[in-house]
Amino acid sequence: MTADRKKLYIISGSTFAALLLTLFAPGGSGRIIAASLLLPAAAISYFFIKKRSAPSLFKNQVLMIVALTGLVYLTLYFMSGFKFGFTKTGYGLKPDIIFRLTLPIAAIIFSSEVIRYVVCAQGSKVANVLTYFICLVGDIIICSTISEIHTFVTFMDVVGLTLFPSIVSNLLYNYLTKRYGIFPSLAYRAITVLPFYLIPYGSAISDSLLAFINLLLPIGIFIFIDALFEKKRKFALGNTNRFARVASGILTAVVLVLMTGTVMLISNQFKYGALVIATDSMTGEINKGDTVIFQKYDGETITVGQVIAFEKNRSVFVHRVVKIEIINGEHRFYTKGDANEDTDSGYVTVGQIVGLVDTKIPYIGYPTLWLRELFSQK
Amino acid sequence: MKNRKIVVTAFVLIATLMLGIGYAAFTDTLTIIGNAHIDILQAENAFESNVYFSAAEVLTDQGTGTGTVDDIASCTLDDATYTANKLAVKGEKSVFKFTIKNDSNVDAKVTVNPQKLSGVENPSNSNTEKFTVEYAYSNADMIVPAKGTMDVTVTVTVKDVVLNATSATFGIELTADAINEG
Repeated sequence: MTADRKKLYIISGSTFAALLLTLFAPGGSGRIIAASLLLPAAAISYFFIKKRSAPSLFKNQVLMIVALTGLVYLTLYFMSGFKFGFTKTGYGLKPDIIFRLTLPIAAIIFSSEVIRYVVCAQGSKVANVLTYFICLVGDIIICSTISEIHTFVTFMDVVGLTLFPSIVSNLLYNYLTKRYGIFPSLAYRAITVLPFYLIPYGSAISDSLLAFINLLLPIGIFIFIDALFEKKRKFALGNTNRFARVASGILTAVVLVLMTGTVMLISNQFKYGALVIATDSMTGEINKGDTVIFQKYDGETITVGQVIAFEKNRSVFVHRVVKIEIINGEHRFYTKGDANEDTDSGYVTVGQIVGLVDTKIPYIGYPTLWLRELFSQK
Repeated sequence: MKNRKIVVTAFVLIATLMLGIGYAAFTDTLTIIGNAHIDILQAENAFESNVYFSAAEVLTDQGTGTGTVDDIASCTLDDATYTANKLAVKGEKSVFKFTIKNDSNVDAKVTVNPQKLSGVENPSNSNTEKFTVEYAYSNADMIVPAKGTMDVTVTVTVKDVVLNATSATFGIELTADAINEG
């Protein structure tokens, strides 16, 4: 084992172990601790391990494409606020936020990319894997530490908005860094992460939609750059036969359709939405654990007997319309759960109607209920 | 390369499934409402209407509910009512305090009549599966002294996981008897 390899394993192994412990740091301190660990690790890696990759011919073009993609992503994210609304994030150019959040996060991004750049040039699979996990854990710490996960929402922030996209993103960053140097990944991460902590407003786009976009975008970038600049890439041996290519194409199409359908239904931002039934009020027709697919209400005529989804007291209900009254031009819908003895108190107005239930998928909602139940227990 | 593609595709599929499970909206409300009342029945031989509820309050510093709607407590002379709106998840509790006042010249002994009154178990709890209701008295002997007061503290606790809108009715009937007739 060369001296460089030994240094590599020691630096990456110890950094990874220390970062894992940092995951359990008390709320708020995780980022500062991670930055304090990664900066010296990056400096030691850079100055004590000398071997570097040969620069690619296309590094400037790739840097430009990746940076532009990041800028487009950022722009589209904030422009989506005009459709979904804007929210106050609590971040901004306040000294407290800059020193507590923005600077440590910038340090984590910079130093993890330096470590990745040095490690990728060494050709060591073990070190590559360790560095991958260092960057993955670093991404999680940027979002939250374990101690800050109290509720289901914070859990999904870590898993959906950070962990899953980070797993895919770091594969992309490793690919980019190995072939095109440190700057493409560094630029992309800086552009797509830091502005969120500098700008005090964000888009109210649904977390589910954002999670899917963050999951797919790195894959899209990889496919684009690979197709554009790696024309001499060989097809994997055995993949030249037609059957394999067709099967691969079908599989890709199925995955895309599944993802698109899931995004559309779960986000409830498109024409159709999905709701998991968590109550017994409609037992018989629609049971607890079923998932109903509804068409978003757009002013259609509603008749007695139709099952509707509506909002009341900050909750969503799926009940049947049993009576309709028009009083002073206002439509009033009286509803009842099929399994309830009494009609629901009060009535539902047009503005409260979320959608008209089209169909149901039985039992598929149980995993959601179990997951929520897990976080409902104290 | 081919293996890597299969792994990434499989991961994306699994991630899609898990995100779908995690982000699925559901028809649910986590607010739990417990309604109850406390009646004071004046015993036949007692002083008239001199023992009554004089105050009702929600002890917000002792409650641990995280719901968005506040607890409510109120009383009339012989009927105290409370609504535990703030209960949301297992383990949370709402605490109420009612004050019984005795304007008479004799001490009054307050009892929870163990016999069924009005055909209802006393104290009653219509949902023992999800709620516990506990009563505590500022005077362990449950005596309201002449010209004095006694506090009744009611604690409603969610004892089990609640995933859908749940309500319950609690009740307790107290009887006031003069101890030393003047």
